[in-house]
Amino acid sequence: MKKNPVIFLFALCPLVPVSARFGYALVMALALCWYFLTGIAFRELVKKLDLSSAGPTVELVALAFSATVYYLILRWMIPTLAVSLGLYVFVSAFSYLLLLGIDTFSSDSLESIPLMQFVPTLILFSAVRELLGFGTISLPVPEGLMVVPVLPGFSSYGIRFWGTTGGAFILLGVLAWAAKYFHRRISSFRRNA
Amino acid sequence: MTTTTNKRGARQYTLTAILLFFLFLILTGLQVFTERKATDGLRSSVEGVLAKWSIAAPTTGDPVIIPQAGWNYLRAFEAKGKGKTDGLVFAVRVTGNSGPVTGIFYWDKRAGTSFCGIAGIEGATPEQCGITPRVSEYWIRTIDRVCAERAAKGESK
Repeated sequence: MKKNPVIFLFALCPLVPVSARFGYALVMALALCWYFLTGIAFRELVKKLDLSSAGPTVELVALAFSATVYYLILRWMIPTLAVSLGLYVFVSAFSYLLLLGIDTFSSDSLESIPLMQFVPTLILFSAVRELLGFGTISLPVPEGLMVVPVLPGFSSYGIRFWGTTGGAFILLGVLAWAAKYFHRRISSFRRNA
Repeated sequence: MTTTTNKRGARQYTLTAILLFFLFLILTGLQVFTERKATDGLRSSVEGVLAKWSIAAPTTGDPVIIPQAGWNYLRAFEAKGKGKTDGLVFAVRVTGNSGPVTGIFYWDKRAGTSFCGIAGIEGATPEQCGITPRVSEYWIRTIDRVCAERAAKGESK
């Protein structure tokens, strides 16, 4: 399940709306890392307290707790972004569960490979989307998002379609194809070497 | 044997209950700790948008809680200003063609709801953020309905 690219893309889909801006994706990527770290901490706590039968339930409650803590910290630091991203903080917890799977989340393994691939993919995907769709790169600041124009004259020749959700799904398809293509090329190169 | 198992089970339930209660306490503490700064920060952004929207725009007063209106309407303020006695300012998550943004709406009892602009993204226009007239009209209608229901329940001033 962990290596299934369909699950990987399915985990990315709920976050497609927020991947329109690089700044949003940074906030979401940080959320996923936070869930991972708190997940490890809670798993150790469950082991230490010997809550064997209640363990998976406690870990799921802990994930909801982590998401809520992240939301509260976000609204403390960047209140405006907390209004627009509030729902997606909890959606990202769902994506995190999809990535690791409930069984893996409760197991002894500290397998982190899906997450470690997912976070850079999310960041890269949003950077490409924002560049193509807005010609800018945005960064989170206490007031909200600071927008840095990168492509000069974007308003004249830019195509905003790539910044929309429809454009995102097309880009996602292209990205999935490119990843598969390069994976095959690298595998075949290694076999021949 | 059974006594040992029961004791172990009871211990597990007790520890789980204590842990969950502890998590609840942390969340309550964080909620109280973050509330003021979050409200002030949002208020400042909202007032920036209102000031750009109109010279006669209101300022924001106390936060207002609208019961049973949903999570999206938790960020509302009383409207303050000359001649503005019965209005509300909403900061709402608006999802357009290019993702979610914080939309600011002003509801006035006589004039209804107006879309004032987008908070948190400097220099962004609704069109740039994928907020089409249809999207903003949807929110205008929804806020009108929420405020009408609130008034019907006798919760307005």
